[in-house]
Amino acid sequence: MSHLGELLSAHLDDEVTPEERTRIEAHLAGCSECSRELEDLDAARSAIRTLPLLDPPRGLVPRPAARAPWLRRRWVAAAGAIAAGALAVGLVTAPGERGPVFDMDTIADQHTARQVVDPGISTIRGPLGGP
Amino acid sequence: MRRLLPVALMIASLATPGVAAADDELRDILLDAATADFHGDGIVLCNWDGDSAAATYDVTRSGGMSMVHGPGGDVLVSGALTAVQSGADWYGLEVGEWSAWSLSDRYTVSAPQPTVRLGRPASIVTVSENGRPRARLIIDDESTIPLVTEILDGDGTLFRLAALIDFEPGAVLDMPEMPPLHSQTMVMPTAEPGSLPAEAAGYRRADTYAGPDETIQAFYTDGLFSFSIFESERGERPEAFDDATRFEVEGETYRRLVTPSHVWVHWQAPNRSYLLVGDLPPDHIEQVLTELPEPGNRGLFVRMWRRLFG
Repeated sequence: MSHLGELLSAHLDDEVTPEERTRIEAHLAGCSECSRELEDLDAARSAIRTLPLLDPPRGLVPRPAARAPWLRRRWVAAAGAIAAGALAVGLVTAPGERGPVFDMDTIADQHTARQVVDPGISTIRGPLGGP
Repeated sequence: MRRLLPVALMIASLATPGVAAADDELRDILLDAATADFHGDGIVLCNWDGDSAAATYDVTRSGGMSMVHGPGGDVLVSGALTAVQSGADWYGLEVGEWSAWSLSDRYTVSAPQPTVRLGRPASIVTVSENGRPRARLIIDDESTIPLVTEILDGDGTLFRLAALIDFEPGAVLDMPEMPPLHSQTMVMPTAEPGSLPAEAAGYRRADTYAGPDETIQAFYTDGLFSFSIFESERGERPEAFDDATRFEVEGETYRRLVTPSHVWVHWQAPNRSYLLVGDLPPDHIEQVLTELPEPGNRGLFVRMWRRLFG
């Protein structure tokens, strides 16, 4: 009588046809060796499922970048050059200081408006407007 | 409205405790001269270490209203309302509130010396600051109007001269009416003094106003001279200062412009811009600047960032 062999794993994974399952169960009922092997396989599979998932060590699995490091460096350099160029163009072409600019005409008038209510040296000779 | 300014000046002279220590005679000279009626044509010139400007002007004051034709255009003052002509239109600025005028006790006047000016009896008085001459006035005896005012720098050199070359005292019957105003702005006080001190080199910050374009105007005076500092977020330098004279005060660099009646000083701190305009002499300006926020530049990274992204 031949033993079940790889059919045991398929049976545990429920990957057998109904006819195969009937034949396997009939065989297991009369074969203590295959029954023991089935129990061992089942225990091993349960133990494996309880293990934590771990990342593979660096370098164990080859990565695309590792296969072509010169390609990555070239992209980084190109991106850096583009960014530097944009910065340089921006610094040259962008307007410098932004923000409010003093309107000297308005400021002169507003200063004069306050100045003339006091009898200071400019008021007594006649206030002059404008910058 | 026409009588508002004289009344305000009188109230100021009576109500301000600080004036008791000041020179009463100088205070009377200023108050009388500020309210007397007259018409005159004059010349005004200003010089600061070779930066000079001059202009002619004529002024008419009657019934509390002043009309001045000057280099910066026409100005009409009635009480707290100042009307300025811009092109064909007039627009008005009215100061909402102001603190009482007081005269610093650092000024004294000499005994009047009789003289004759424009064929009229007049008196020469010298205004001294802590014993050093600061101004010379030739005052018309009849009207109390100053026919000549000379302002001296700290070293005694002439800083500004204003002299009437034609003068007629008394009320002017054909004084123009206040023209229709194209627009009128009320200059309102604000409690926000920015980064500006309450006092600087003997000048007190009398009032703080909301200025144009979100600026702050701090008005400083010692009773004789006055200036305003306009403070804003750091912005572009006005074009007028591109070729302005640079000068240093205690190692810090500023730019200045001299106009006949005012001196302008512009500088920038790392985050703020400042513009000083006033009639004070150069040595006073230099002393004031040492007590205000110093010029300074932004760091390289901040400049680059703001240059790119505003």
